[in-house]
Amino acid sequence: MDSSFASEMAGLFLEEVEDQLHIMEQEILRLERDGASDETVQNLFRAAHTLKGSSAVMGFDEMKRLTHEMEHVLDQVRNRRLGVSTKLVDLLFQCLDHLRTLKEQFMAGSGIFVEIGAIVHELRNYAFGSEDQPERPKEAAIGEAVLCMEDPETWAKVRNAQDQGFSVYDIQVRLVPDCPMKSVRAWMIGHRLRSLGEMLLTHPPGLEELEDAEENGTVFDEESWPSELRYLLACQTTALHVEETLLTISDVAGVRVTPFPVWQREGAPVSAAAAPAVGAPAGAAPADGSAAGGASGASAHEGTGAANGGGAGAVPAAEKRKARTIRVDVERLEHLMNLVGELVIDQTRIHQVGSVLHHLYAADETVDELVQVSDHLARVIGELQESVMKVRMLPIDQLFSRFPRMVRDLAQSLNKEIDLVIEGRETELDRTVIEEIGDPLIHLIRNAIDHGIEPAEERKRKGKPAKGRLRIAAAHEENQVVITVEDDGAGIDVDKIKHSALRKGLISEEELKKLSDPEALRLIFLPGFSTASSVTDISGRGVGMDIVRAHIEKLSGVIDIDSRPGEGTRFTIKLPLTLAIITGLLIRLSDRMFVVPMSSVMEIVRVPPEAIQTIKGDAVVVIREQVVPVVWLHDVFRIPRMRETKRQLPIIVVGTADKRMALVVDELVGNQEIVVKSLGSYVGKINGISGATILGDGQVALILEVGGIGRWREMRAGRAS
Amino acid sequence: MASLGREQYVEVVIGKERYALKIYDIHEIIKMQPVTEIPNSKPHVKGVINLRGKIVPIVSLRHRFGLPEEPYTKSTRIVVVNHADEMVGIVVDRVNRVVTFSDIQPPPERVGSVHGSYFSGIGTTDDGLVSILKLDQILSE
Repeated sequence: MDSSFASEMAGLFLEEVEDQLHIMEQEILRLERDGASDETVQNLFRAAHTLKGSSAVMGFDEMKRLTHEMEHVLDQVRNRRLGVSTKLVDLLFQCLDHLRTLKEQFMAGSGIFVEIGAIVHELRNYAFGSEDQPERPKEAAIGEAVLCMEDPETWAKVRNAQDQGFSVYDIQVRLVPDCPMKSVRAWMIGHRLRSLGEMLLTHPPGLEELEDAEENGTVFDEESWPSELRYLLACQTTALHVEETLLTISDVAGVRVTPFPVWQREGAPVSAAAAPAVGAPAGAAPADGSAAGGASGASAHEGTGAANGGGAGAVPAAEKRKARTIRVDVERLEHLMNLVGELVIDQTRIHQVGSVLHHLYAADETVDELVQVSDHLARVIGELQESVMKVRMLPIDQLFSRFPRMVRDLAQSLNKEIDLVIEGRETELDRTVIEEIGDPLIHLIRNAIDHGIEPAEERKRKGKPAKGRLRIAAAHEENQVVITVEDDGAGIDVDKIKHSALRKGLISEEELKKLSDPEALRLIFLPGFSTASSVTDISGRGVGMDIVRAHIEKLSGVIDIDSRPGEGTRFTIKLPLTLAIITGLLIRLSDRMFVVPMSSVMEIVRVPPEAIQTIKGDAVVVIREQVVPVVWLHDVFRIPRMRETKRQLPIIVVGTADKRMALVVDELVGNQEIVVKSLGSYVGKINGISGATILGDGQVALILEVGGIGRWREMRAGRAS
Repeated sequence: MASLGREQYVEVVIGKERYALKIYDIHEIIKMQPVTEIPNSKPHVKGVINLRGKIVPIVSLRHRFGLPEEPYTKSTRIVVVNHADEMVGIVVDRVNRVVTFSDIQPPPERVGSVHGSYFSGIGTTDDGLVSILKLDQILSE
């Protein structure tokens, strides 16, 4: 039980980390694009803060350390002590990458190998380096003086504690300026801290000997007591815990707990950059307050306190809003979906039995009732199915939000300027589809940036805006989701495509002559095709457009391409909303039932047998003045063709705009919602069949995969010629 | 009870031969069902059936054992076994009984015309020898 609880905790933690990293990425991008706004910085700060908290709870020290430093820098930005620069954005992106890697390693359970020392150091340098010098307060100097600690004895203590696995914290406590009996408070704080661990150092010195001091009659002068106290504590709790403990003491205005860096053995810690960096947090907070003193000091303190409180208070508020949603394991949803699938099937069977009974006993009231109940059941199940489907639907933003960062990095590495436009983020589709469509989309985007959009100088020469435009959009269209990836780059040179296909022997010269331009463009989807004259790191990884097409066909989707030289290229992907339940067209071949996914059906026609002609050995039919190749499904599945005695042959036209096939079947049975089931890994991949479904009468019907049938036709045509 | 503690097997008949399957591997035994053929699949895969809402592939061992396919009879059964986390149905001519073996010998090079690697051993019962099927092997490609 314990371990399962732990793993559940870890699961929750990882989800939270994922969420927060996601937010961070969004906000950093916004920061880069729009500059620093209060909201952006606040969101970033909050994300870092949340991560710090949860990683501390999980005992995930590296992440806690890094987020703590981030939080610190962001706090400075928030308080306008630091400006936003490209360097900061880059630094934050680096942090993000580090956090990602940390998360992955945590997930893999392989132990942590990321070295965060360097990035932490950079963050500190940044915080220190850009800080406004004049504002660096006198008190910080005192703090440094204290903690620079040339006293080797203290050093030995710190190192000793760290070696033994204790965390050493640099704790700063600010008292309310008009706090009466500061010495008593100081003593209480010291006392509380000592209950947590071992006190290594205090400032003012001798805080811990207060009792003795009082006994000795040496009374501290209350007036001269600083309102800022500093401690060096070695303990085994988290910084957060220390902070919380101290905040429960009254008259404490603020607490700052900084993990003391783990020093290299050989390094004397007085290196110019590192030592003041420790002092820096001290400098920042009490600066205005203590310098001004009195009433204005108090208000300044309250100000910082409120800012801190605001940060902490805003988090629960956000959580309150979130409380209306719950996280559910995907497995459970899948199970629910399966059960609903069973219900759909059973309901269809009940309906059939009902109508049979109705025919047999037309006058029977009980049968009538059965039919009514069955109808009602059908409605309820229909709604249930819809609701469950909706639960599985996610906004495509889940995927799209990964692109801005990717595009930014790509554009930077290729030295191109790109304006990314994302539309239709809220478009919902099945989570399995979202998972599967990621890779093909990334491939298309990489292609567009690498090969499509030209470098800025070239664009200017051509009279285009220097910034290339990449548009990624999603929208619902009837029962499908349409995703477009569009660039305003160089476009695809059809002649180059033709030439390349010919050279690679993918097509004969004769065939080439027959191809229209749009058809020729589609050649890039053939296996073994790649026009990139130079292989680059970005898109020349041996993954061609044929893989993209295969991916999309696996999802029962279609991909189309449209390109104009000099103007750009547009890829259009059409996908079914969900893969679990689809509308299928039931057909009969001989005595067997098959299902054609409605998403690939373009139209259904009936033609007389003599309308099917043969051109150069290929059967074709002319539909709406277009020549469409004909495929007898019987041949594909090795089922004997029925005698063509019928006066009209039912024909299903499937495919995409410029790549159609006419499938000849024996009988069209009708439309039906079907639950897609896999044939299982034992049967494996069968060309032309994507899965199976269970019909109302309990029979199993196979689902056709139009892409596979297309390949079968091409193969056979290739063999014939 | 002499059989106590000994492993139990289910004895099935294919053609004229008796074979045994570990009872532990068997999910259930059902009567012959309408099988939906899968075109262009492996020759020994007869097709799939609907087992209470699950799609289960059906395998014939006749092809593997070099026997001609024969029409199904009233005694034809599908033995549904668990194989690599999936269910697979094996068509047999008849299911006889549950048996235990007093002795199990390693399989010979060949059992009749069938290669010995398809068997994990030859079991001795009170009325003769029964070849014990090695599931992984007979269900593999």
